[in-house]
Amino acid sequence: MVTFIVRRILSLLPVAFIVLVVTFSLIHLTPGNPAYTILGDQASPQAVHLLDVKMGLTRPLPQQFAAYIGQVARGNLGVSLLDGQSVLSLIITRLPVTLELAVLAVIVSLLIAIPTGIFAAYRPNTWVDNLSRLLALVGAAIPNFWLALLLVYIFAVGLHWLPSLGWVPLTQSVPGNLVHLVLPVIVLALPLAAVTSRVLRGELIEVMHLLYIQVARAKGISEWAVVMHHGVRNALVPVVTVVGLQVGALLGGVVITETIFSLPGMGQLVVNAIFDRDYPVLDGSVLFMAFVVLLANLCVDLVYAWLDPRIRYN
Amino acid sequence: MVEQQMSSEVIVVTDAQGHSRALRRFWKNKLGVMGLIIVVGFVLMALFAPGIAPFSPLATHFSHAFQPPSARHWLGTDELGRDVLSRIIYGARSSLVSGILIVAIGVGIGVPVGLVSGYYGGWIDDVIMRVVDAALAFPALVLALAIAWILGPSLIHAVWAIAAVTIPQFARITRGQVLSARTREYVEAARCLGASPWRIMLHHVLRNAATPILVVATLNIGSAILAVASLSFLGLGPPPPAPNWGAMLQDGSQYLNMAPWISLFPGLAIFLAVLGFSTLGDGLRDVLDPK
Amino acid sequence: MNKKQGLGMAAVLLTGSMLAGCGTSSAQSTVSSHSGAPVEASPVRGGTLNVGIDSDFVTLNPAMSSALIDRQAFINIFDPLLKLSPTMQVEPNLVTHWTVTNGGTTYTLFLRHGVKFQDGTPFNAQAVIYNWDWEMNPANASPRLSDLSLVTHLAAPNPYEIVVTLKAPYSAFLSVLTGRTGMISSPTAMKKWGSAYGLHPVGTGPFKFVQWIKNDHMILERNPLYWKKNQPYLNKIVYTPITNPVQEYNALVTGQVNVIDSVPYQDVNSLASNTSLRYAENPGLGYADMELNTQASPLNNVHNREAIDYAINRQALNQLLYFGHAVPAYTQFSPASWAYDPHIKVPYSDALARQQLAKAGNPKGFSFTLLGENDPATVQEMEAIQSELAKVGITMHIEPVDFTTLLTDAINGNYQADLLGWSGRPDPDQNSYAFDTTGGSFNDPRYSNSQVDSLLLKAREAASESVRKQYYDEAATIVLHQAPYIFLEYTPVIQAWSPSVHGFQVYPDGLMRFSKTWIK
Repeated sequence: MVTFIVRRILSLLPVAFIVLVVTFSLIHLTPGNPAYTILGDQASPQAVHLLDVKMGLTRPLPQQFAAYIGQVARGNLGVSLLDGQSVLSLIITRLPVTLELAVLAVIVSLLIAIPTGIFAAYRPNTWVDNLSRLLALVGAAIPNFWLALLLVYIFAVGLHWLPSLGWVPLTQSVPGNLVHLVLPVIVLALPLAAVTSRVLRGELIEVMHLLYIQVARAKGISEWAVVMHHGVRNALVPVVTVVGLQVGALLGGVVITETIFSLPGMGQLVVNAIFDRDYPVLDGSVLFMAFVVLLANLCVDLVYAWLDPRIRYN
Repeated sequence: MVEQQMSSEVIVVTDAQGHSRALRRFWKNKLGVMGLIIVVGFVLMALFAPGIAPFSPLATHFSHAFQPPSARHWLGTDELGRDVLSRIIYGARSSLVSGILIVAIGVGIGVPVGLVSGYYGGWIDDVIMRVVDAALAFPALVLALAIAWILGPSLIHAVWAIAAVTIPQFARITRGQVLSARTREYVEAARCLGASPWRIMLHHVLRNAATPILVVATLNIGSAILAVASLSFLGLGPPPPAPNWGAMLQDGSQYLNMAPWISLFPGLAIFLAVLGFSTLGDGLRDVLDPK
Repeated sequence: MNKKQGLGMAAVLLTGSMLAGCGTSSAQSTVSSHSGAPVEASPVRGGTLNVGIDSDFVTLNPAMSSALIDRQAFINIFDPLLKLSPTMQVEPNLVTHWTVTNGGTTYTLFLRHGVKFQDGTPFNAQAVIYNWDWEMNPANASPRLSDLSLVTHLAAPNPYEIVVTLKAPYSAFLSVLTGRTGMISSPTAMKKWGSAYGLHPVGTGPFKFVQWIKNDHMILERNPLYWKKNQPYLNKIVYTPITNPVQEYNALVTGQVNVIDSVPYQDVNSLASNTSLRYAENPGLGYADMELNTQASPLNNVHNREAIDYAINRQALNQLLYFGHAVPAYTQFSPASWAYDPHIKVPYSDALARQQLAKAGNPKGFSFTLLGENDPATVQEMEAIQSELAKVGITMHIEPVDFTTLLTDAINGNYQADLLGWSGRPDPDQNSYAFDTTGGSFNDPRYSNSQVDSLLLKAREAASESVRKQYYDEAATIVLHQAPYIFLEYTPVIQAWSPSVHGFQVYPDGLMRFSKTWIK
């Protein structure tokens, strides 16, 4: 087990390196120059050049990359070109927002997906099943930016029930914090719930055909008890997988959701860094996000291995 | 079932029978049929847009801007006085074309890569899979955003940006299919009979992988349409004034309080199109891969 | 009004006390509705003001800032050397009086005594010179450098007197001191924080900086050391950036914020009938315009450029995009400026446009690409211009790009036309010289006309407003017809607040000054 974990972590290194190379080259090939963002309409060619030199952007790209790799290897993500703030501290201040948003979205999605998935599998190909499948498909097909506008229009502008945007830290006010997160969490949770409920249904139907379930049935245990006790427990394994694999999609959704609802999280950090050509912030936060996804995949593997002893660690 | 077949001819026969049975089963699948109807509806709309659309999608009438839905303009007019319905009808073209194109690129590049990776294994597989892992580890939308930013706003750039994150998905699925097929008896048999690796791959392996790939492709057209709409919503779609659902939604969002129809209807169109492809794909999966 | 200098006199002494109605002046040229807030009798101390702003700050270091939005923070954290009245007159502030000598090339500034920075260090001539030396050092790449480019020497004969020597007369110099160049940072804080000073600004203004979490909020707190003893009234100001204008307005309606820095044009009319909100509408200093690259085909042809001038129906654009709240623009000088002249304009005429196209040798029209920022409002504006030009056969392609790319391309001349706009400054020189003269630092169109060069130089060096206005009129007429810029609309400043906010006034520069604001 330990060697398995170590090997999986080591196998992340080349992946992380590729991510780094791609991120760095993508971002530095983008037209535009952060000096223009900083100097704005006051940018004269001389001023831009001076600032470029000051920021170290006149060195050849491979040299910049080598310097950057060396820095990252030592755990230093650099500082923002715009205001000199450390990239790591920027990420750390943003992380709680995104983390809370993502965790709540996963919880809410499971609260929707598990009952609907079970009901659908319990009575496959009936109207209950069709309805829950349709809801799942609808959830996955709704454009999240459209849903966000729709919800804001109805619940914030129309009914004045919920705030349309903004963020209150948990430490400041718990109800205030939750009220601000209702709409963003719904927007993020819905597609996730749709996918999860689909997978749960499929797995449950398959599991229900397995021998030990037949045995349980034959023993005269009530159908519901069979589903809950034997079926669901086994079907949860793939659900864990799906949730883990959805972390990447979730982060993509976070970008849009945070933009629409003005939440000061990682998504906004990335989008603004793209706008400002703040290379270190962009490099650092994309790398960080990719790292989170890789980590999530690793966790999925481990949980999977733990839940399903048939998998061997080699 | 399939594992017991010894020669490709027999498989073809079963496949043909299986397909006709599958077709019959498909018509009983209500959601799948609903998806098919929606998809066909959008395709017809895109093909015959000039005949269906009541107005030109580009004609502006400043004095007719912001008109609510009426008998003349069923879905109202937008911020430049253009007919929203006509723009949605024409917008089906770019949405469908980009969705299909993205999946075509994804399949066209991803499947061969997955085949090679799965069949040869070893260091080739290692290298390809590390790259695929890396590509899948990026938040897809962020990667697409970055690519679209570098290339500048245009539909074809958005297509490449999203295709770039679709390719690894198909590579991974194909590889998985190859790995499971490689160990099967009929492939072993073909190898013993001296068939060349490419012949084995194309004839035996790919044929069996075709079903899951078809299902994933159909589902992916829907998500590709959604992804293009997201990029257009962020201003990275085709340049204005081309009618495009995501861009219409974004441009109208500044008037959400006063003229909600400008952004709500294009959103509905995106939703229906994505729903169509995903229910169709879902139906196909139920029929072809009854799991 | 603003007769500060007498040309030909050896020395003109002009002290602050000579300016009519300084300090407490509430002279208004504002077109305001039921906001015209008569100065309330008894301000209440305390409370927090929540302010919605249309984008986040970029840097809080006035020496490194170029973003318009930063000035919203600066006006309350820093106190400019000179201040602007609601009618954009220059008034004494930290500089209590000044003299202009040697034909307008020597400015002697006398500083207020007893002023302290928010960190307790004294504000004096050394501090001002430290700031300006830093900004004039090319290695610091400060955007303020161009404001100070004429300065040849700075001296402090005593701690409260600064002698500024200029290369040439510069009539806009006092106006410059009302902006970021006149906002002085504590040298102690600048040295302490170095390149991170933009996150820890220390000025002399009514509010001191507390916290800034990017894209979330910035907090200012009452400055107990502020030199005006009874001000400010508020305890705290919280700025929240809300980039979507509709959402910003919604935030005011739902009470999440108390004041917003701009109101979506389509909502202004409904504001007038809304008794639960207050608002004011002022002509602004800025304008929306297209820049045409005079060095690149096909817009290197003056007739092609002028055809665009005639082909655009500015009145229709005003109705469509600004819901009638803007004013059609033909020059760089807005109705809020003394240099504004409503007689300088061109008619909207398809026939005249076609005539110019024929003169240019392409009677059927031509095609070019317009770059503009990638946001819904700009895209709509570009589409509207596109459809106007199409009527005379001019095909305009639209290329939305992000702001950094737009600036990069505009400054490098890597474009045919762009839509940039200008926020405007109080002195007409600041709105024209760098834009129109050959090689000027804002001259993105790469326009060059010796007559315009000499007129604007004369206007810069002349001392009397009426003489300067004649030069500006002449130059503006030439620029209008040669069309390196297509001026579209003068944009108004519209701000709204909840009725609990008192003592707030809307200025043409759009900056929200909160030193006299209180909340109840």
